[in-house]
Amino acid sequence: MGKNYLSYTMALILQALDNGYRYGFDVMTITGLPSGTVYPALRRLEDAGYVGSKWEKQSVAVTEQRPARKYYEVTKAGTKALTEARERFRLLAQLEFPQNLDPARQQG
Amino acid sequence: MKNSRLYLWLLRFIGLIVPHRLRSDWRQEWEAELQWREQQLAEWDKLDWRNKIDMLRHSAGAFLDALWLQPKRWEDEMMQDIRFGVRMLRKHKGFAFATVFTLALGISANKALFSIVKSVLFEDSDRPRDIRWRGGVTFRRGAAGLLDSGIACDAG
Repeated sequence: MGKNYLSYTMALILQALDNGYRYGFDVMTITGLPSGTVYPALRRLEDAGYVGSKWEKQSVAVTEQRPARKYYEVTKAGTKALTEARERFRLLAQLEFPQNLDPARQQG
Repeated sequence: MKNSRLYLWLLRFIGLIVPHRLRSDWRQEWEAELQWREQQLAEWDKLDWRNKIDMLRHSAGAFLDALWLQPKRWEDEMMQDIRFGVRMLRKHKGFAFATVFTLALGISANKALFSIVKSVLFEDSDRPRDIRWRGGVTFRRGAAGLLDSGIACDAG
């Protein structure tokens, strides 16, 4: 098992992040995975150095009267790991996430 | 709206098992996501009982997330204990020196004693196995390195 080996679920989540779904809830909605799967996977990806996390701007959170959300971004190592995962999981390479679409609105 | 806040109570309850160092960030992340979702649903006028139950179900997933963080608690506590130990040793240098010296003395004495016991009782030495007496009587050294008492005397 190589250093960049990812399971299918983690590769799916990484691909969702790579497609612009940066928040945990958005990843849950677009992948259909439950929160108990997505969040631990995000932690593992972050520990492995494949994603980095940041808090959104406090001004946005204050305006919307809620705590600041945490978002995740794919790192260079994560991009490399995702490329390798796409070679292993051919279906993942063909999967296209809709761009600039609010998944929660579609589901709601 | 009251029912939809059940998820906040659930998160606070689950958050009790999250390692202390990570707890406030963990709670903020979960609460922010769920409150954002609640606001979105309210904007679309879709905050019905189904979606509220759905949010409660999502918040229950926080338990698995909290479980996944448990190894970080053990790392935290172990590092805390190590740091405390080093701090105490630095604070009481005399005690630290006495402790280390006593331990070193005990270990080396034990080692020396066991080496002697091992070489005398258990190992074959370079001494001749048999002790020959004039007249052809031979006393044989047994497997334990001891002379067999009163046996194996060979004449000639």
